[in-house]
Amino acid sequence: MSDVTRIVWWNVPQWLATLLYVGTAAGLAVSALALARHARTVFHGRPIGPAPAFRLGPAVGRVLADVLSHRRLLEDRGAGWAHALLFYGFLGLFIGTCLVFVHDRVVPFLVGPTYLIFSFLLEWAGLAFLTGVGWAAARRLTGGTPRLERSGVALGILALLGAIGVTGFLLEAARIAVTDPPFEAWSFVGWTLARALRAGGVAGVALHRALWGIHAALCWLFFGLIGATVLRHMVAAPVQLALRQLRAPGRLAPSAPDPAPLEPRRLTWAQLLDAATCVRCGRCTAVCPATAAGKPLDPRRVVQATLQAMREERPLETLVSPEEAWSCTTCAACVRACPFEIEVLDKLVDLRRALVERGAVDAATTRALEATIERGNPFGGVPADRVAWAADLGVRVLRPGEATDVLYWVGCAGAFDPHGRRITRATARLLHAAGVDFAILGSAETCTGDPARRIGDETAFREAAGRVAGTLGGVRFQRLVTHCAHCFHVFRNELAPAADGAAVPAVHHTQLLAELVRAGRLAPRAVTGETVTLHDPCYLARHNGEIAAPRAVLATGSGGPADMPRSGERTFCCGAGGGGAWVEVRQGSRIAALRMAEARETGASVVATACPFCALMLAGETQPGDIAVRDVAELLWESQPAGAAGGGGTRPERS
Amino acid sequence: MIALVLVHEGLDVSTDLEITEPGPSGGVRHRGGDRIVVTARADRTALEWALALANRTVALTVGPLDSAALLAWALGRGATEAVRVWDEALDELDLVAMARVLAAAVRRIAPDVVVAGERGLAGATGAIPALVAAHLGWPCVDGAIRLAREENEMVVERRLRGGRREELAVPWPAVVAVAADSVEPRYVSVGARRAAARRGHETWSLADLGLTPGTVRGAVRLRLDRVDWPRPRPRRTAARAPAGPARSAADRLRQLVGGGSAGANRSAPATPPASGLVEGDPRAVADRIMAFLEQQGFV
Repeated sequence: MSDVTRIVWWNVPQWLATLLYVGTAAGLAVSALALARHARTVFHGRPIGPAPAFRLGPAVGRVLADVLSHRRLLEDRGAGWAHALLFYGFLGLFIGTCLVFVHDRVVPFLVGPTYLIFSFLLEWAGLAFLTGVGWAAARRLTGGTPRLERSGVALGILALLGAIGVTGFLLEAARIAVTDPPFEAWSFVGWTLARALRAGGVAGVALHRALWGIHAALCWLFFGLIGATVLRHMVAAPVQLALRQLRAPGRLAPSAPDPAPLEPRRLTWAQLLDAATCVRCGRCTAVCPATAAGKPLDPRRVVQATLQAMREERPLETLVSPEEAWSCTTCAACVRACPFEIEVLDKLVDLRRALVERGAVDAATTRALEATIERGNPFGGVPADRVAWAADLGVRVLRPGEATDVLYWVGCAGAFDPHGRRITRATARLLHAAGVDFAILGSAETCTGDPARRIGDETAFREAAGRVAGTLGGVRFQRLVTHCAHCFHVFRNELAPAADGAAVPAVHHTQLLAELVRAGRLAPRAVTGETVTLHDPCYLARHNGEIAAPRAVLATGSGGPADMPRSGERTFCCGAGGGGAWVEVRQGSRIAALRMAEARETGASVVATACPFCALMLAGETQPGDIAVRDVAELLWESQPAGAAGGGGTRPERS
Repeated sequence: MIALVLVHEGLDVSTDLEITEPGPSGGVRHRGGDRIVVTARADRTALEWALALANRTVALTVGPLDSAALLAWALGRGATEAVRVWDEALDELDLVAMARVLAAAVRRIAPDVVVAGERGLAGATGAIPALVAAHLGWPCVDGAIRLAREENEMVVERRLRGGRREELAVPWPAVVAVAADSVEPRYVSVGARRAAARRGHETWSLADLGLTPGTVRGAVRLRLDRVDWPRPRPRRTAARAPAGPARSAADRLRQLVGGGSAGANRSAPATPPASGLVEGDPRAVADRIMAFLEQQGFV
């Protein structure tokens, strides 16, 4: 069986073999230069602020897990499988080619059965590769997936990959057709094609040599295109995924040191690396609430504009309009949907920061920011009114130096918005009923700065955060509970870095209520005849991964809520985030209206929320006799048995 | 062209106030000791117009060191310089005395135009710009909603009663008081305010203005005696009842909400006009109102 092997350079003259190496080197050099240019830009980007130390083990682990499992890609089945076939086919062929090189130059081992098995497996790799390419092309061409672009570049790359695969099989067939060793039947595709070539009378050394040259040239082209096209993700994505541990989705970097145009070097390295990694798959755009509502925002376009800014060395402002920047609700649906968790909102917030520095802010947003500066809340409420909701509930107001077990952070919406006050009252009554030792800060509470930060006034946020940290430093408590998902996010992730203070032990009220129900200190929610669907707040479910707690509060005793199609981590925004409660982008429809339509389709009679801003936005879309909007705390309070109430009431309040 | 903008800040009177002894706080202060200070929107508007008009804009205020934040805001928005006039003798000035101090500061800066907010904060009379102009002997325009600069004069558009407009040719120097809603003031980021605060402002004493505490205090003729909460007071009506038969309260309400009266002095329409007026037994009416409010989602 010693003749059962591969004659590596069969029918390939020396000059063509040399050309193969030269061409490959040239292709790779072209890409290396382009990649180096990108790498240099990324390297010169501004820092992202405090980040955990880089650890190599978890980084490699994440890259391997994400790449080998295709777990993110498989969230869209079709795309995931097409890419998996293409990827593993390519990987098989690439490893195969490397092994042939080893066999040729180092140690000839592809002999006998090893060669036969090798040939057989590579046939399958080639088939998988071509199936993947064909499937991907079909997905684009049939138009069944609107997010996929039918651009010349995208289809051209697929055509190139397809051509490489097809010429690979054909040149194998051409070789077999001439040499015709019987053992090559193991290369079943090439063998079959060889029969066809001979039947067609076109077999011959000239055909083989021509195909070999074409195949080689296509490979050179492929190598050369890696740096300049979306194929760049083959190199950029592993780097991006490895460095992902330094970042958390939706987390914002400190502002650029001075207000100047956002040229590439003034963007963060992470933003630049993201832009270089993007493959234009459009998953971000497909899930964007602003896009869905017809607002002038397309997340994919924003990332691509960043890439363009990088290439052309021009400020991002010249490529992304203020309307696009203001349309974002910072819900991070795009980040969650992206296979590489590419950030979009950080670029938009950077653009907003530039607009805010120029004072280019609409009137309602200006009032919210001014009120945050002057009165410590974006609603413009009077600080003394922060306790208006508690007048008849006997809630303790914590003075500086005093201590409590649970500090109830009411939040501005909970203190000033009428619906927010209902949530606050329900929560306070539940805490009373459960016998929790809690207190509020009353008029000493001030905005955590979340709206200011996401609207783009970073210094206002830092001052607000510093003020809050100072207030909290003056009192003692075991845990802080808040029912505002935005306050919760700031306490959990942003306050300590912004105010150089210690982390705040913050819990969301749904977490505390679930805990109290589990401990038997509150009665589980009774079956009420109402069917409830839960609207997960973005800043609870997506930014902070808390999905179970509100469900635990609702599900106890009632069989659980019917979820909307977009729920949990993939929840759909209410439109209030990112200052959306104030910022007005008139174009398109209201995001909250889309969400309420989705809620109605579940047939539920109540939409449960777990954030006062969601409640505010969604309730604004209800009609008389429509599906009701209530907070999880309100629903739990309503089903508490009479007499359980502490504080002011003895009967559940339905207001 | 040099524009001088008069800016001032004061207690936010829309917040929770309590009455104190007449004194430096003007007889009111915030309950709980918070001190919330606001800038009149008209002042913000005045700065916008001044920036649009002149290549050099000076912001002027009379106030203690706390007013630095106000000047930082003005500088952050784009004012080229900021001046604060202060002396202990300047506490509790009446309008005439204040105008005198301001006029002295204006003379020293010698601008081409003084732009001020038409009205200041709550309780403001809007008299300051006019009094300053009188001191200076300059023309004065109030209620300005548009200012433009031409070769040797300004064109100022004023809003008159009934929405009418007039356009005035105003030679400079002049004092112009602008309407608060004539333009949307721009937001000044906290970062810009901080940077401006580091730039600092000039502080002038009375001596810098050629005034003495005696002359300023001597000009004060008014004294604050007492501040009171508003008292519910019956609405004053004409001394004599209008002619014609008296109409019931319900009838008057119907006239208000229904767009016409079904009173005896008019021929009743065939069908009563659609109105939101609910009549009948008070208990039943209350129930209907509650039902309506619940239906609308208010309760």
